[in-house]
Amino acid sequence: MSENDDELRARYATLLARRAREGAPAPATLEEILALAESGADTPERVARLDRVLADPRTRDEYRMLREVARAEPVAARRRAVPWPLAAAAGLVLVAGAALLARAGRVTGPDEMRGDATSVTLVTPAPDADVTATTPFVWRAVPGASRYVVELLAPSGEVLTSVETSDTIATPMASLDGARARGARWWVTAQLGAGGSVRSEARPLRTIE
Amino acid sequence: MTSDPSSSSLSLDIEHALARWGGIVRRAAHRYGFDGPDLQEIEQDIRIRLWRALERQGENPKGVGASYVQEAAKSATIDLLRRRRREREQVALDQAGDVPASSRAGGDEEQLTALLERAITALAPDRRVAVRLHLEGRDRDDIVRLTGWSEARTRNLLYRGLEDLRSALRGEGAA
Repeated sequence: MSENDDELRARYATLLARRAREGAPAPATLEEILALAESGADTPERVARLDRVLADPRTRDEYRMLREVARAEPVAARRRAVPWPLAAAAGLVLVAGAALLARAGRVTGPDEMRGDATSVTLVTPAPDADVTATTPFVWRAVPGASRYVVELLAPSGEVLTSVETSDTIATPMASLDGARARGARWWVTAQLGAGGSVRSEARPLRTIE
Repeated sequence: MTSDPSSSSLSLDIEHALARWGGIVRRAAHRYGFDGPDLQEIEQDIRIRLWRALERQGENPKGVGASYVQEAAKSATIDLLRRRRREREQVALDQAGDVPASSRAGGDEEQLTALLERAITALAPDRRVAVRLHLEGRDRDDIVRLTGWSEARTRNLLYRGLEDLRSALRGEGAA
């Protein structure tokens, strides 16, 4: 604030340095400091404990570190959702483009677009990629397959939604509430013309609600 | 469940969470001066704690959420800080009696520091916390983050606290 403040700060730094040199026992255990760092309560007891911890430079830094660890979000922050009109437009372009590519196979060669007859190879979305209602799901064609069934599975194994198509692209999230798809996985089953079926791995999803 | 905390037994989500929490603890330790060679092992330390906790509770490691990893990270941080306390105490013991006379404050300086200490101690506890953090050079946002108080409350405590402090020091003829 002012020169006065600078002088006060310098004196306070001297005071803290002296306290650190005194080597007195720490005014709180680490478990007490963690409890203080985790607490959101605003009680006189908490304020008094906080004051004791902050008055000692050793416990002050322990408090800061523990508060940072205790207050961090349990899961990484998700990317901010794109406004839905933009997401819808981008999704439509992706669906149309991917469908054209899947049908024509002009850009990528047959080996990249076609799987074998013993399994279904998933292409996109990648594991843990953020998905929305308009995200296209794409897989490689299986020789001899007449139809494909895309299913989204809850962590419990319950089928949340199922889409049947003869194509290698679908938008199964379109009919599903994003919140219900939390923790879901997806897989594709190819129905073979000669009878029987083959299935892909179950791949995890991350939904943007 | 076996007692082998191998990564192949944990889900991809949990592996990501382990890497993330290892990074959070390492960065915080670096920021607040708790560095040391053992920090390189912090991720493995968190993994072992997570595994032991799951084993004790009979949980399936594939089904746990990221919040389990956070609890394991907190526990690993406590142990890291405990090791630092022990190291610091050992250094203090080794250096006991070695403080040169030149490092001690002179008479006037000593008096002014004691005066400040008395004036801070006389503040109301919540104002005292706000003033301490201000005198350390923390800005208002930092104080809000560290205490959990609202911005308005922090501003008020800081204003009143500094006013009380200056008034007390003026009363002692020190400001």
